[in-house]
Amino acid sequence: MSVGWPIDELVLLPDFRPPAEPPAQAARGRLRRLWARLRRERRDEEGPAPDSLERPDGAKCQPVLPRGGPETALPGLEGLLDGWMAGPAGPARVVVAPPGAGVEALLRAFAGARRHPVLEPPGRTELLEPQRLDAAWPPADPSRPLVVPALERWLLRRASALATFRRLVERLVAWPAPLLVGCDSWAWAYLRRALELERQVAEVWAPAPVEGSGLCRWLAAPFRDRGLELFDGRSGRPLAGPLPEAGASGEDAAPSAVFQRLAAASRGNPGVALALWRTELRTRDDGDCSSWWIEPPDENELPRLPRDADRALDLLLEALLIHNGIEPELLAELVPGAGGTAPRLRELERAGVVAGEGGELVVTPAAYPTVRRRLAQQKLLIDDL
Amino acid sequence: MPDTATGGAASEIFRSWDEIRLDQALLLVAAAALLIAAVRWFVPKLASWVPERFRFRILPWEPILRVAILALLGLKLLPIFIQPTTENLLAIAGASAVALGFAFKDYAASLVAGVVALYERPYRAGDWVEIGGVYGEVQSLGLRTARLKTPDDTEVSVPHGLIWTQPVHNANSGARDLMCVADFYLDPDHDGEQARRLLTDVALTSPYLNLERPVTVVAAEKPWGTHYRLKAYPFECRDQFQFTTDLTLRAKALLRQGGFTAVTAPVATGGV
Repeated sequence: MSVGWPIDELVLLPDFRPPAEPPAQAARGRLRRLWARLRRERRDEEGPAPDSLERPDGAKCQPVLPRGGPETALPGLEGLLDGWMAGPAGPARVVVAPPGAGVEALLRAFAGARRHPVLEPPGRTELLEPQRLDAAWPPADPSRPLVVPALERWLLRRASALATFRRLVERLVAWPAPLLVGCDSWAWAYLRRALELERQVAEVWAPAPVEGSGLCRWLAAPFRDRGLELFDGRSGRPLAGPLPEAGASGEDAAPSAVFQRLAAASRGNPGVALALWRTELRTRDDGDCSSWWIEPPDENELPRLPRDADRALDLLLEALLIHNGIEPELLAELVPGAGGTAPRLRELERAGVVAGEGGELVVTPAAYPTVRRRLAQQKLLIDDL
Repeated sequence: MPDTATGGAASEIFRSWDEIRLDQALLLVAAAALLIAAVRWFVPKLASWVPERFRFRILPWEPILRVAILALLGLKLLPIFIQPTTENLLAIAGASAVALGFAFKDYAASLVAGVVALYERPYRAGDWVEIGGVYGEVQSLGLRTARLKTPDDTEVSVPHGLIWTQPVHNANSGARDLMCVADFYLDPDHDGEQARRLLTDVALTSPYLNLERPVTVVAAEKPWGTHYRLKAYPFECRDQFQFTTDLTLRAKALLRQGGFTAVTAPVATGGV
């Protein structure tokens, strides 16, 4: 039985706690890796030798990846969302989510299912002309609930575009029917500091972080459904078997330990977890795809930032995240002094850190943890999730 | 005869050439030089490994350790070259004091000021300071001088002794960021509220802005126009010049777009 996108609960933003790898387990893992490196062996006798495994291409991976996007999480959340939209009009409820979590798609699916009008964002350059908003307002019958699935698409970090954004917020605050807003966590981090947006909304929610057990249910489901074998490449233990009991420890907890590591690395973000999962999938190189292994990739297999990463590059990445993707031409204007933006972006693209998506550049989910860590180290703006 | 007595006392202070262990002295000097080089290498290295908040506690130990090594070297060398009797030591101490007093008065003052600076901390490595008209980042603290690197990439050695007589302007005082100010001079006939919002938005949209710190616009009416000061903090001290430039250039362009007129030069007022 396939399992849907693993967002089944929303939590208030201040209550968000990212999953953590248990300290003892993390320390054991580090020691084991060190020992394995010293002994030059990465797995015990149950698993095949590392040389006989390959990193499969996209087509080979496809059948063993979870089906369905973020919209499949709707059944678990529609009760809560319906309750909000049936309530009295008032300050908006905002759902903040990190890149890749799929909240925009989820809210669009919800609005589509309930036939709620959706406020579509204009092109980014149109935000430089605040009067355009006046011409297109109201976007729907003001007596009906409104869904704004991606508030960040209304943001352009330019002074004249900020005026448009303020005008939009004034209008949204005055919307006479219930209002549901989705916003990227990086844009929210910027907006709540720059415009004190938090004071103008009722509540700020976030998808509950997906823990190891949730990832285990979701990511191992295709293997269970197809009767394929899935092993921990390091220990050789099976991963697609019955779910471990709550509170299990030692040998019994092995599958959840693998997934808990993934949950901690992705900070409970299913989109990022899925991207990392893809980098860890291994199968035999002889074409037999009945058995699969999970093997943490070598450092050089993951997207890496250039060695000469400097302040200009950090600011480019930060701008990309705040806008949740932006056209390269606009990006160059947003980061003054980042001379030679185009070659740097090409370098990031080659390294798999950014990718083109509908004419815009975005930070790839697999590179997201690295980029977030880098920006945090540099004490730049980071999101709350 | 006094001359003979003096000559005899002097000859007893220093050891005879045969008694001096020159090889031992050279070895000690070499060991001290090596140790100082190790300290110069290791302390900044250690400071770069530890979390930011410990950095400023570790860096000041570099000059202290160097002084300690030199003092230890002096103590070790002394008995190699002189007879270490109480009279001799007193004589040498007295002579050294007089020599230092006359020849190295300023040097000694700077050394003492350097020690005082280590404890009073008017500046630390990493601070952006203005001393004696020189503005720059404190790169390192020596025994006698503080090395500053100016925004024009010039290294300036500023004697610690200046702290006795000159004010020390410290822009960040150990903090990671500092306030930057961009000045604008506008024709007085304009909508001040609009100008304030525009300048605030310019700061809020700068990629260098530290959003955790406040953005302030201060306006003052002058006889020749309105003087606006846009005050904000970049993420880091090292961003200050790019930040101020970014604020200035973008605000200038937007002010022009918004119909504001800049005052090109203050006009002298008052009676003839």
